Amino acid sequence: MSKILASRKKNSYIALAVVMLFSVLMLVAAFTKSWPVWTIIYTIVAAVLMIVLTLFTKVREKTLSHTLMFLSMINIFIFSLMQMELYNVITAIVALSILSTIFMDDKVVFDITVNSIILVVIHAVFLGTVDFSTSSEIANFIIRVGIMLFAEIFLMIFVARLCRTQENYRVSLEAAQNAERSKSDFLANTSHEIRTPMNAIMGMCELILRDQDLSETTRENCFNIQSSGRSLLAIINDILDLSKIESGRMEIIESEFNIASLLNDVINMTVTRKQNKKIEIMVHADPDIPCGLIGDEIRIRQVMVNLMTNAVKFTHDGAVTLHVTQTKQEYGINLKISVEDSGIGITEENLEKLFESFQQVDTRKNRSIEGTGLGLAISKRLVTRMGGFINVSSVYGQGSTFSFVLPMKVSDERPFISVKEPEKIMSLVYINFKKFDSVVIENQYMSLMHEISTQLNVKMEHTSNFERVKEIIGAGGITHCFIGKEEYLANKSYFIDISRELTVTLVQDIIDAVQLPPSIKCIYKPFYTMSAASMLNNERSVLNLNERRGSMITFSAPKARILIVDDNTINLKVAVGLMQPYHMQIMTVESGKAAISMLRSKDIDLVFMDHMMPEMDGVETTGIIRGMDDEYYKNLPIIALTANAVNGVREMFISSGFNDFIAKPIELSALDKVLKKHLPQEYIMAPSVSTYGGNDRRKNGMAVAELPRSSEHISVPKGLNYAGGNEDAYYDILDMYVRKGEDKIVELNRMVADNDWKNYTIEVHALKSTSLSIGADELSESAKKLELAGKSGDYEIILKNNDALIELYRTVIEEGKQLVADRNPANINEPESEDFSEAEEITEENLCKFVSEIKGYCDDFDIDEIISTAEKAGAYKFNGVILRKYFKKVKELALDFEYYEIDEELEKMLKELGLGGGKRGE
Amino acid sequence: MANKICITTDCVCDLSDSILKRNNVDLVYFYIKTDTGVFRDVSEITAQNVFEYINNGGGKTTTTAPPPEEYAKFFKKKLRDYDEVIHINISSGVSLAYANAMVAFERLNEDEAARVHIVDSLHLSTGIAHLVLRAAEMVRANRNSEEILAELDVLKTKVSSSFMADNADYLYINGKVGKNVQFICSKFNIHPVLMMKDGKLVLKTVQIGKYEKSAIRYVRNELKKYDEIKRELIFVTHAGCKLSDIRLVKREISRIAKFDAVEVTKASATVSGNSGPRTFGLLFVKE
Repeated sequence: MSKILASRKKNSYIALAVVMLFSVLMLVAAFTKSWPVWTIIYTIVAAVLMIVLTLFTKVREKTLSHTLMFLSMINIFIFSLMQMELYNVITAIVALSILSTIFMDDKVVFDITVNSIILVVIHAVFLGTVDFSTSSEIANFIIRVGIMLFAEIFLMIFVARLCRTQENYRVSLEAAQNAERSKSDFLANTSHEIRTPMNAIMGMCELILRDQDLSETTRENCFNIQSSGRSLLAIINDILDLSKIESGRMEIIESEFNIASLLNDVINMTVTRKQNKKIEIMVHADPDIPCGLIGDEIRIRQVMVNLMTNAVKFTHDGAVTLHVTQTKQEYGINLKISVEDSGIGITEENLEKLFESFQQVDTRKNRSIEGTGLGLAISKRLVTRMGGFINVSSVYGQGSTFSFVLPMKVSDERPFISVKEPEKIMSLVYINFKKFDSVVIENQYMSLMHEISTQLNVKMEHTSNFERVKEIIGAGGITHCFIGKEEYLANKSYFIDISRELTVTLVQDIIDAVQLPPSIKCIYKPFYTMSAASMLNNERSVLNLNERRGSMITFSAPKARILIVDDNTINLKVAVGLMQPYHMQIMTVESGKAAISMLRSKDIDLVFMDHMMPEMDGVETTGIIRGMDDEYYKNLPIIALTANAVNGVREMFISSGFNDFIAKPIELSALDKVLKKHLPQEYIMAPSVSTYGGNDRRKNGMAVAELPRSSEHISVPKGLNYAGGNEDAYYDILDMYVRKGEDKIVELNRMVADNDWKNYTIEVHALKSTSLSIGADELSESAKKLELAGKSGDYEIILKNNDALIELYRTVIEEGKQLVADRNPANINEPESEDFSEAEEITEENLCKFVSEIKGYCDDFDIDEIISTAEKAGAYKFNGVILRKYFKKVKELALDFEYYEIDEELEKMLKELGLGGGKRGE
Repeated sequence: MANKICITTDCVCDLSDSILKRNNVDLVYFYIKTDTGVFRDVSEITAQNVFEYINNGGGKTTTTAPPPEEYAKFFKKKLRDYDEVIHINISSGVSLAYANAMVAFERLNEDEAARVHIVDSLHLSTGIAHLVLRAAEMVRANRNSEEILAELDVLKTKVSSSFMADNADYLYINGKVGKNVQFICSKFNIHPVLMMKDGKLVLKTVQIGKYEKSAIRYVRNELKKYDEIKRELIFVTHAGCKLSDIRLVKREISRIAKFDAVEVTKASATVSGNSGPRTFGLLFVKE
């Protein structure tokens, strides 16, 4: 747009320069031909006016063009009057018409045409400067004027058409830009809208899976939900990644990484993907690759995993082979990764469009294969962004090879695979490679044996014959023996026997792996240089899939005090649940302000801070904390929690004072990594054996299979879906939603009264997500409309609809209360009908003592003691009044860290009990 | 017993992996330098990569011949497994590779030097490949190195290597033609036809008009004296051509002459970086 404006400005300057030239000529003529003074004055005034208008004012382009041309036309008119001549002027008029096209406005040309006709009429009729005496003069007049008119009309039509075309382009461009903007907005919204409920789904699933008493079917179902969740998240991430790359917002973050762990991760992820497919995954890695490289490990892994999983997806039998090689360069190395498969291959036509977005080639043949078709497009762009190149070659029906190369700096020159004292090693491989259907695999394994032996510089003999095994081992000298699963099962006792004298390692698939006695080691396929080296170095075998699957909790930190700040109580619940196995002391608050006041005690070791919060967002809160006057606040690790992955602004978070960030839904591995990195090392202990206590909270004999009842505005099944199917969790969330409701309504109304649109928008945004998560779709939808109105500045819409929203909100709260009460009648408000007749009477002195104790615990923020004292006090009655309802409220407030309100609640109770309140308890 | 001879060449011979493997031919690699790194031609970077890199504003790429050290190391390694090595280089008229190989040769000891033979092919791309394949064939036939070298000396004068470029853009980028020539070529749809003459790449002629029609005319011109062309093998070597372009060329070849084999190969980044995308060439041996 700015380019268009600049070009228009330039056009005005050109036009001005031409008409100025004409004005100068006019002045020369005026002086030399002694024209009247007024002509000189007019010419000068007109010239100054044109200069001022063009250069020093901001008049509209249309006004400027019309004025310039009009003043110039008067100049021509004066010239023709003074010369008493028409025909020479016609040339000037045509020149002016041509000049006027520069403004791309047919009306300017039209004005000149009209003026020129008037001029001709004046000359022909009134001034008599045209000679009509002979027919040839008449013909001359007609021809000249005709040419002028023809030229003017032609220019008018030409400019009009051009204008129309330009307008069409402008409209199309605007539409395209709008579409682009909508796409970006859509992606940004998709990120937040999908990732937030995904957080609940995957988090709740994780919590369910930690339940020890889960039936196998439920566990399996839960795994399936989690796995589908991950697939969905992967798709969302793909779309977001592509959008980030295309808009240039994808950050490549280079840091030191270990090639061995990268390779291990990629292989593990591929093996998991392979599942029961009858394909062999082979790995050929150059052991001399330096172990420390500098690059964006996450992005390299993303590309490798994409290529490997693609290969696994499209290969039905045969092998998928990963080659990792290097070439030395002055700056470090070129790391080359190739993935070769024996899959269906790609036709030459499809090869041409393989790296384009949204292309999953040969869709008819691959209908059963899932995927967005974005993987390769993303991989290509990522590799390009990292300064490398990606290529593919394929023979249709035989397989494909995808490879990429990346230039990398080296941080540690040592080879990533090596064997200690290779000269002392003599190994034997007893695997019958003929058991594989494919000769290609058999040959690959044979060359792999040779490769391992030469690369590691160890003696390695291979045989498929058991008698030969006995012979070789019997001859002595063998230090390590690698055997296949079938070979082991056929002669189990022999291998158990020899495992006392030499290292026997079983090479087997992770699926259907056999259990082994402690003396026999195990490595899971793929069998390659690194896994062989780890055995030859007598290192621990690789992690078992079930171990990985069971938990990613690598430590516990009971001394660590963690503060989680999130305005969304559901997200708080998920985060607390996920962190439970670390046995840390977890505190939660729902606002930046509360976090700051909590941190005044300076005993928090790490803070998880939500990005988007009303009033004070995470960035602002962190800024305030960092600015506080103590070293503690400068060094306190603050980790950002964000569901907004589109803005992918790691750097923004870091520069805003955060130490790190975790994307929502929170991935356990990411959480584990971040905690381990930022917690004080002295707090890190071995993981606790006890796992998260399962929920045994099915009360009141509610049948498991009983369908939950919905209300008019709350769909319990929908809400349950968002809570990962965990009914207890859902009702906890609903209960919390109901309890917080009235306060939120007061807040919303206050914000409308104060015209506090920024916080109102954030608040309705939260209402939208929380309502959705309890199954209140209609309310969520209404909140969304007002959120959009807030974002686009349509405050009128908010003013008009806020009351309706509040009314609906109240209805939902009431229905929610009823649903909670229906499920657990003992859990709601005052249990009027409950029989507390047997409760003991408490004396005024003892009651005041309880009150005093609770207040003391409030001063110490000791939530556990507040709850236990409130429970004790709630078991009594005072002057026949059951105290439970008061102390239940105290417990709820304690759980919400509302310490000041506890004080008020206790005062209120004392007042109602006729004990006067005030400072009685102190 | 005949000496064990190994045929090697430069990666710019543009033979596919399978043909190289089949004929037991090993390569020495050229390098392409970009703003981000230095990449081995063929194995790490392809012509398509270079075109995309330039088109996406990645800047100019430069080509480097294998340095003498690399040749020396390569020859020594081969001599461990073979009695003699015949290395067929890209033409000395278009690259420093031959000179570097000769420097490496000078560094070999007397015994090693006696076992290494370096041939200036006077050609590039699959023009070299004709020599390589003939040499490999003679090795299989247990011919000795003198016979092979004598045969190659004759053969290299009979190989015809020419290419038709889509335009002169890359020739201009690489400083082979001026801005005006490039401008005229692009405005008037002029497709330069380049050929190897006495070991140098020279402009043979131009084809004017639509790419497809020009391609057909180029094929017809090249094969018009098909009676003088050996029919065993013709290479169609291309860089960044569409599948439809290649099909068109193959169809035209089959209409003019019957070759036993029409091998389509992709040009290396080194070769095609000079002529640009949609360049293709016909490389054959004359009688």
